[in-house]
Amino acid sequence: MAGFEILDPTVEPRRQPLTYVPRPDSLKGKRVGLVENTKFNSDKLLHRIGDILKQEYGAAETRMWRKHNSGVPAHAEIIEDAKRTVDVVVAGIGD
Amino acid sequence: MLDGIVFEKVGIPAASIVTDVFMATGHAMAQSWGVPEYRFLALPHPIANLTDADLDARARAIAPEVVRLLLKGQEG
Amino acid sequence: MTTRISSQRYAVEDFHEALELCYSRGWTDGLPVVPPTEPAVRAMLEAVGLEPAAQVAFITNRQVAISAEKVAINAVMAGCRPEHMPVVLAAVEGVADPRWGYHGPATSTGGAGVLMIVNGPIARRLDFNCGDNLFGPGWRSNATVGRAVRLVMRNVIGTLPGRLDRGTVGHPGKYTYVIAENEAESPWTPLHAERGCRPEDSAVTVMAALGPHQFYNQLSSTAAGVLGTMCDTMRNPGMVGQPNYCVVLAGEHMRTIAADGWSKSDIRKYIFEHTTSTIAHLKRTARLPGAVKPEDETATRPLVLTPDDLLVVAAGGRAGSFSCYIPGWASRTSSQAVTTVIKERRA
Repeated sequence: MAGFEILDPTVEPRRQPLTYVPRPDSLKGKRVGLVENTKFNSDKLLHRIGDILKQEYGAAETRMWRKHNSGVPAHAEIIEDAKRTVDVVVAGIGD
Repeated sequence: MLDGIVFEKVGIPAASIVTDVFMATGHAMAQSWGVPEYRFLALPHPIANLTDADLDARARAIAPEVVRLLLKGQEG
Repeated sequence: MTTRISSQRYAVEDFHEALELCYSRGWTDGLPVVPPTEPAVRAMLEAVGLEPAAQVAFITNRQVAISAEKVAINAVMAGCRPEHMPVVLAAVEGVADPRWGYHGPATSTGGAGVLMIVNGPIARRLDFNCGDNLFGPGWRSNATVGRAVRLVMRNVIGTLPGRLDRGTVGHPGKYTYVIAENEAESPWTPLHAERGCRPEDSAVTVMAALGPHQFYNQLSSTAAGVLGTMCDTMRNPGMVGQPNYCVVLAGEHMRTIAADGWSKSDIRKYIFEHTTSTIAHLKRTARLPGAVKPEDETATRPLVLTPDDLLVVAAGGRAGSFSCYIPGWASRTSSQAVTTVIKERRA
């Protein structure tokens, strides 16, 4: 085989620009959603972060959801609940 | 990490946290979703075997960054 | 074939340069690949009647569309022949199925491979190994079909070590992990027929899987004797949750169990009942968190959620008192085995 072409087996991700939501000026009075990924200690760590946001940054309240599993994004029920009940979300954390 | 992107898409400002050994994975996911510059936070790995005192310290260390990311967002 | 091949092209002087280019661009699994030329790729597509731009699957969690063209390129690289394409396509559809849940098993530190079990007439027609050296080298179909899927995972879906593949230790099955069931000699219903296919269909079952765990029993002449040994080996779980398990029964054990009149259903029931652990044991061995409470000494947890989560396959050599079980990944609620009918032609 002299002088030939081979084909690229890869796929380049295409850009999907995101329009980011306007940010609040502060967390005072804001409701914070915590989405834990089911990994060990994720919930405990997020609870502690949530408590600091309330005590030191004026967040009004926190609520936590647990995902179905760590391999998928937050499921539809969490998202719908969050849209109705919180102003910002903190998500994570462990392996 | 992906949850942050998912919540932004439905109109909720979000901050994602991973543990530091997964930064490369988080960036690769962001790239796969077409937002390679997406910012997220990292704290030291692992967390599964931490004591209560350790968890307190980790939360305290990352809370200001969480606030900054929630308020300044991706473009701040 | 009306639509053009759209992938970027690289000009090379010769075969050696092509090999090195594939390595330097990170397109291989560490082994050399067959240079994917347009004629070879077209032959793959023509074998199944697919246009290059046809979408085979979409990986939601990665936002990646997998085209027939890209599957064909990676199948050529893996060393497949055109007649392998139907199996490769069905396996790609399987890992893209939401029930398989791509992100978890592919990315997890748990390091799962993709176990593929081929059933039906295509297994014999394409000489998929179901006997001696079952998981070992020597058969083109087993080696290349699994490899094709892994190359798609790497090159198309971005499943690269250190990035979107964080298997802490992984295992060699991540090169290729393909077996066929020995339907000719098995006394039992084939796996795919148990899982809803017609026996005359060909099918591939994909399961997120750790490595095979061999067990030995040369002394028992009863089903319970053989399986008792396996359960003793199996009951200490290698995963945190309760995933699918695949149980591969090779010739001698298959015949002993069948001679006792046991069906696959009997096998599953026995395994389910004999692989429970107490919560106390799981806590003492740090598989579950928390201090041991008195009630934990009698509370038990089964290895799997239901007996149906055990996939029983008759395969392996005729000689030797060895069979194996293969733990799945994480928990069946995070990823479950998926069986896909193999379509010889798509158009």
